[in-house]
Amino acid sequence: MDNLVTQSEHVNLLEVLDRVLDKGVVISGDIVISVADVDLIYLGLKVLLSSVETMERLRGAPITGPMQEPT
Amino acid sequence: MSRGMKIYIYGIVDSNDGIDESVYGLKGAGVYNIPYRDIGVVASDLNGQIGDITQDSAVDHERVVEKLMINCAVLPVKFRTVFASREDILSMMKDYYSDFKDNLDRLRDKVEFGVKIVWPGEAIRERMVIACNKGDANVDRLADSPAKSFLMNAFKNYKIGKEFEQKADRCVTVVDHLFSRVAVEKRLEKLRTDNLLLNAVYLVDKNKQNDFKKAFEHTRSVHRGFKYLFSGPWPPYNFVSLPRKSHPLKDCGSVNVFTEALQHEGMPRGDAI
Amino acid sequence: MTMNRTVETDFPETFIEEIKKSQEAFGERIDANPTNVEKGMAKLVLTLVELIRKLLEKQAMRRVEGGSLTDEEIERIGETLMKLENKMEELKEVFGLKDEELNLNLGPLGDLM
Repeated sequence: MDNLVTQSEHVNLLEVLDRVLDKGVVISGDIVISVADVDLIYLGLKVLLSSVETMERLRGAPITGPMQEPT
Repeated sequence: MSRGMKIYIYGIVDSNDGIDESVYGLKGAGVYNIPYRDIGVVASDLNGQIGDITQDSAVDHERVVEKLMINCAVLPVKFRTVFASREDILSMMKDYYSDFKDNLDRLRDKVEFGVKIVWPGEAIRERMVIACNKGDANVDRLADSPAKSFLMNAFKNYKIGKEFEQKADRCVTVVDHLFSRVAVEKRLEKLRTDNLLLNAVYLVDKNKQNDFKKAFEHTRSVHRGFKYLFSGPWPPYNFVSLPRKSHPLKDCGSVNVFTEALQHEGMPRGDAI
Repeated sequence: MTMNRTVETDFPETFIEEIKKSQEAFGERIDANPTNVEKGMAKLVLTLVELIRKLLEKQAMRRVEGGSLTDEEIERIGETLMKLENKMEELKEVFGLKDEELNLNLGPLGDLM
């Protein structure tokens, strides 16, 4: 059971997290679409969820060769 | 993806000067300012993967941002924003320069305060359920099939939900009233959970900090029956407003071509799934 | 300007409890297991189905509220909603998913549902 000091540290941390985790300047490339905490990109599902055509258009060039998964 | 030196960023500042005193950020790395025209982005070097950054570092991140706030206007950057190279950072600064300038001008000399309020939401909802059940003894007799019972039950929950939210709205309006007078902007989040009536953030002029604190204390003494949490002053995390842009970040933990697709089109297309 | 940031409350335990209830567990996102592809897909599909189910239910509630439904319509709508809910329960069980897991985080837009 938290004593009063650690409780207030705990609340402090929660307030910090409430802000830094997804507020502030969010550079678009850094937005991760998650399904219930599971990062789709991390799982390499981007191929399934975005048609290849769209990806080619965004990259400005046709995709050749196998998809590289982020490691 | 190369395991190597990456650059972690903390905030955008309205200064292109170097950082005077030694400031240390994540993993004890020295913090420096990367200038771009008349503004800059404050960064530190990061060895290793973005995935290595754990929750504990959030406090380090925040500490750096707060130090920066002492001397200049700061747009705090979201935690775990990492770039592969200085070139990528400068390219990003070029894309966002005018948006950053606008935000810096708007947020200069302003701070954020947070007010959270807990009310006995679960108990209030319970009381509504009981009251609703009392009144429905007759209606239940009309529900002569499982389908009808199901629908009537769903409808009962729907009505209670509405009533609950309306009550919450009324309470929030009353409490928010005093804070709003002292604040320049605000964001209100109602009923994140049944008991968390309000999670509000207010943008307040630096000079009005004491006035805001007084408004809070007054509200707390007048509207008892609620539990209050007051925090601040914070850097203006909740008041940065940027248009969504597609900015390719290569080689970083959260690179996401799919994200860019969503941003361009608003929603995933039916045929894409 | 010095920032002497404070976080003040007379009820730390209360707020710790409520805030934690609603915050995502930070650690889970970092440790996402790359081999859970199927579960990831199931979550996505079921999240979207759940969204549609919720929208249908909302529509139905508005019609009941409107008071213009015939007895037969009430029966039919009730049965549809019931079957839909039962099916969702079944699917959630098959994939080992809980209610809280069926949501999409849209970054700065917040959660889908």
